[in-house]
Amino acid sequence: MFLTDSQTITDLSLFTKGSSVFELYNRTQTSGGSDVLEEFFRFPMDNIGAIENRLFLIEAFGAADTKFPFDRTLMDTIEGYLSQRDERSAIAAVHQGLKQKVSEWVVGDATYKNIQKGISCLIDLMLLLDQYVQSKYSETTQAGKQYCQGIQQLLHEGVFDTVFLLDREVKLSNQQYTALDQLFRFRGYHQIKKILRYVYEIDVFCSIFRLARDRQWCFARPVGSGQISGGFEVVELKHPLVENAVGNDLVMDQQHNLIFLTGANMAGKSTLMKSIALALYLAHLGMPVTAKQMKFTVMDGLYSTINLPDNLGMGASHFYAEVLRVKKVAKELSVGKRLIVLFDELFRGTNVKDAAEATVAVLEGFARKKESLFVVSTHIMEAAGALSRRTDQARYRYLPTRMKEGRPLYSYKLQEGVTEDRHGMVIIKNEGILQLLANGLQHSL
Amino acid sequence: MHMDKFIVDRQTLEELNLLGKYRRGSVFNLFNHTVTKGGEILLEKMLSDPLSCAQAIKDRSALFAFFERDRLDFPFTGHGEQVQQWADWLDNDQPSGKLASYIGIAKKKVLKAAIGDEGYQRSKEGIVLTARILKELRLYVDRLLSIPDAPASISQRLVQLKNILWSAALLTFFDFDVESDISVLTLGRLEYVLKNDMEAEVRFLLTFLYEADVYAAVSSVARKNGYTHALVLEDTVAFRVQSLKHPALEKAVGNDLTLDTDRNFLFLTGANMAGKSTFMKSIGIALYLAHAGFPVAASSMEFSIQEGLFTSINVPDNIQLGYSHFYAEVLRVKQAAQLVSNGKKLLVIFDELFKGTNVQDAYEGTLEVSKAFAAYRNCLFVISTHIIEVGETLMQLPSVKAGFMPTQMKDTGPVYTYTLQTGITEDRQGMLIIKNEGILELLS
Repeated sequence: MFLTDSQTITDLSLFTKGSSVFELYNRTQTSGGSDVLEEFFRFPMDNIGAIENRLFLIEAFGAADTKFPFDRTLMDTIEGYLSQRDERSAIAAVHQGLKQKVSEWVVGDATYKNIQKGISCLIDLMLLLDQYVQSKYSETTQAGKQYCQGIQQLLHEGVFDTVFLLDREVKLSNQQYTALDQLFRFRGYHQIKKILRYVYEIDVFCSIFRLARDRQWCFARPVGSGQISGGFEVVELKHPLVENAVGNDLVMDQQHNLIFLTGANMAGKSTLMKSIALALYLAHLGMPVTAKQMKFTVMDGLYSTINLPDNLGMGASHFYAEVLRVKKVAKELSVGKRLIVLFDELFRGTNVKDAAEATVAVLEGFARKKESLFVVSTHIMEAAGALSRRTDQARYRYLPTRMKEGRPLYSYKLQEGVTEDRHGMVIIKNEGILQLLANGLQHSL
Repeated sequence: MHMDKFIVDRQTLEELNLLGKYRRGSVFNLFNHTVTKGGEILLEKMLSDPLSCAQAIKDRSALFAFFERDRLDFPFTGHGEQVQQWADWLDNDQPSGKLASYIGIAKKKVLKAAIGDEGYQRSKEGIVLTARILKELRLYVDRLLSIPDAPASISQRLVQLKNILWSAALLTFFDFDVESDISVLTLGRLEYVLKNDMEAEVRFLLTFLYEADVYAAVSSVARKNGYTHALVLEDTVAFRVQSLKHPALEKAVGNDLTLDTDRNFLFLTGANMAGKSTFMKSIGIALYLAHAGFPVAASSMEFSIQEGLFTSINVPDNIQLGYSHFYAEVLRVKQAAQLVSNGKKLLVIFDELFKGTNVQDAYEGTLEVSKAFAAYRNCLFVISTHIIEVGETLMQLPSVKAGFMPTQMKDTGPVYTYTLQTGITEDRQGMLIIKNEGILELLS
C-alpha cells in the first residue's frame, strides 16, 4: 500500500471544498464514475505493474474517438432499480391477478413500472456494453484486450446468456420480467455490480484521457530503477489549480535526492512544493500531471508538511508538531521505506540557532536515505553552507525575487543556488513603521 | 490631567477577554455577581469605559475598597428581582396628572369589581413593594452612615439619600397597613407622589441601588480572591506589581514586575508552553482594571495613568494563515506605531511578533520594531518572542529589561514553573526535543 496521510491530502488540496484537484480532474459522465475516480484518488499504487496497467487502459479506452456510450440517466435509472433489494419487492406472477390489473389500470402501479423500466435499461446497457467492447477489442492494446475479455466473460459465460437471446423488438412477457428481475436484483446481483463497475471505470478512463488531451497534460511514465536511479524527471511542471502557472524543470535521483529550496515568502516556494508533491502523487494514481513530460520511479509513499496546523489543545507547540512529523517520516525511512518527503519552512517554530542546527542535522540524515526523495524549504542560509560541507547529496535551488522601485517582482522560475531574499523587513519598511516611530521621536524631542 | 477616552480597541478587548457576558472566562463575568439587571448594565458600562482621570480612578477604587473592608453586602441579595420589578413598575403605568391618577385607579378598582382587573392589583403591589424597598434602603443607608471614615464621595451621597428617604412624602409609605384593602384615594395619591412629585428622588434611589449592587458584587469577588486596590501614581511612567495573577486562572502563580522610568520595556522569552502569553495577558488585564478603578489580581500594585492599552496577542501559534497572517501582524504593529509616535502614552503588549513568517524575518522584524519602540520612554512595553537571539542586541538598550519563563527538562518531559526570572532564557529546547525523540538515530 502506498503510504500517505491526511496532512498530505490536505496540503495537496486533493479534496478541499471549493477548489480541489479531484474536482478539476472529475469529468466523468456518471455519478458511479465519479465514485470510482474518487476511489482512485484515495489509493495511489505502489507497484509499477498496476500503474502501467491503468495507463494502458486510459489510453485503450480514451484514445479512440468513440464516445463513452452510456449516459447518466440510463445509469441513474439502473442504480435506482438495483438499490431496492428487499425480497418482497420482487415482482411475481401474482402481480397479474385481476386485482392487480384493476389497480394498475386505475392508479398506475408506479413501483411495478419502475422495475420494468430498470430491467429494460439494464438489458440495453448489457447489449450496448457488449457491442462497445467488441468494437474496442480489435483496436486495442494487450492490456485493453485483457480488460475487454474480462467484460465479455461476465456478459456471456455466466448467468446472463439469456439476456442476449431476447428479441428487443418484442415486448417482454410478465414471466420474462419476473425472471429477469430475479436474475438482476438477486441471483446475479454481484455480477451485475461488476458489470457496472466496468462501465464506471471506462467512464473514468475516457474522461481522464480526454481531459489530458484537452489540457495538454502528460501521463508520467513509471520506469524501472535501471533507467533513472530512484527519482524523477519532470519538464515544465505546473500546479493545476494555479492559473497562468510558470513551468519548472526538475531532476532528482539517487545521487541528488535532496532539494534545498530557498526564496522569499511570496516567491512561490509552497506552490512549487505542492506541484512536486501533487505530480508525484498523481503519477502514482496513473493520472495525468500538469507538465510537458515526466518519468518517475515508483515509491512506497509520500508525506508532505506544507500547511501544518498546530494542536494546542494537545499542548503541542508548532515546533513540537513539526518534530513529531519529522519523527514519523524518520521511522518509516528507518524500516527501509522509499518515500517522497516535503517540508516547507522546516522548524520555523523555534529560535534561529536551534532551527539552523536542527535543519542541518535532520537534512544530513535525510540525505543518507538515497532511495528516498526530499524537498525542503527554509530561510536559514547558514544551513545551506553547513549542509554542503556534510553531504554531496543535496541540490540547491531557489525562487528569485527582483526588486523594482521598492516592490518585489517574482518570476516563479527555479534557479540554481541559494538566495537570501526575504521580504519581511521590506514589508515592515514599506508600511513605514520604523519611519513613523523615528519621526514621532523627533517631534517629542 | 487627561480627559480623553482611554484608548482600547476591539482586538485588545478580545485578546484580553475583558468584556462580554457570553464569553467564557471573561473579566466581566468574573466580577458579574450583581443581582439586579441595572447593576449588571452599570458593571458593563464601568468595565467598558476605563477612566483616564486620576481623581475619578481614586474615587471609584476607594468605594470598592470601602465595600470590601467593611464587608458590605447588598441588602437585596437573594431577591434582586424585586428591585427589577420595582424599576419596571416605576417605568410603566405613568399617570399623566393627579386627577388622572385617581381616575385611573378608580377605573381599575371598578374594573376589578366587575371582571377582576389586574391593573388595580398591580398598582397595589407596586405601592407595597415600594414600602418594602424603602424600608430596607433606610436600614442600609443608616448602616452605611454609621461606618466611620467612609470615602468622601459616598458620604455626601449617603446624606442626600437619607434626606430623601426621610422626606415627608416618602414617610407616608409607612402609614398604612399593606395587608388591608387600600382605598382608591390612598393608592392614587401614593402612586402619583412616587411617579411625579418624587420622580427625580426615586431615580436617585434606584441609581444608588444599582451602584451598591456593583460595589458589593465586585468587592466580594476581590475579598474572596485576595485582590488589591492599585495605587495611582501621577506624573510618572510606572507599573509595579507584586504577585500578579491571571484572574481567570484558578491556580495561577503570582509574579512580580517593575516597569518604570528606569526600564519601561520588558523583553520576555521562554518556550511556547512556559506561560508567556498568560503573563502578558495578566499585565494587560491588571492595567485595564486599574484604570477602571477595579481591584486587580495581585497582592499590591501601583501604576501611572496611561492613555490606552494596545495588544497583539495572537491565537498562539496560529500560522495556518501563513503570509496573510504576517501582513495582518505588520498592520497591527503599524497601528501601535501610529499611536505611539503621536505621543500617546500606552501600554503596548506584543506576543510572539511575526510568527506568520520565517525565522530570519521574524528575528529581524522583531528586533527592528522593538528597537524603534524602545526609544519611547513615556510608554510601557512588553514584547515576547521565542527568538532569543533578538535579546542580544535589545539588551544593550537603556530602557530594556529581560525576563523569562523557565522550562525545566525532566525525564518525563518539560516542566514549567510559570515564575518569571530575570534574564533571557537559555533553554535550547529545539535540539533537546529532537534528541529526545531519537530522530537523528532513526536517520543514521
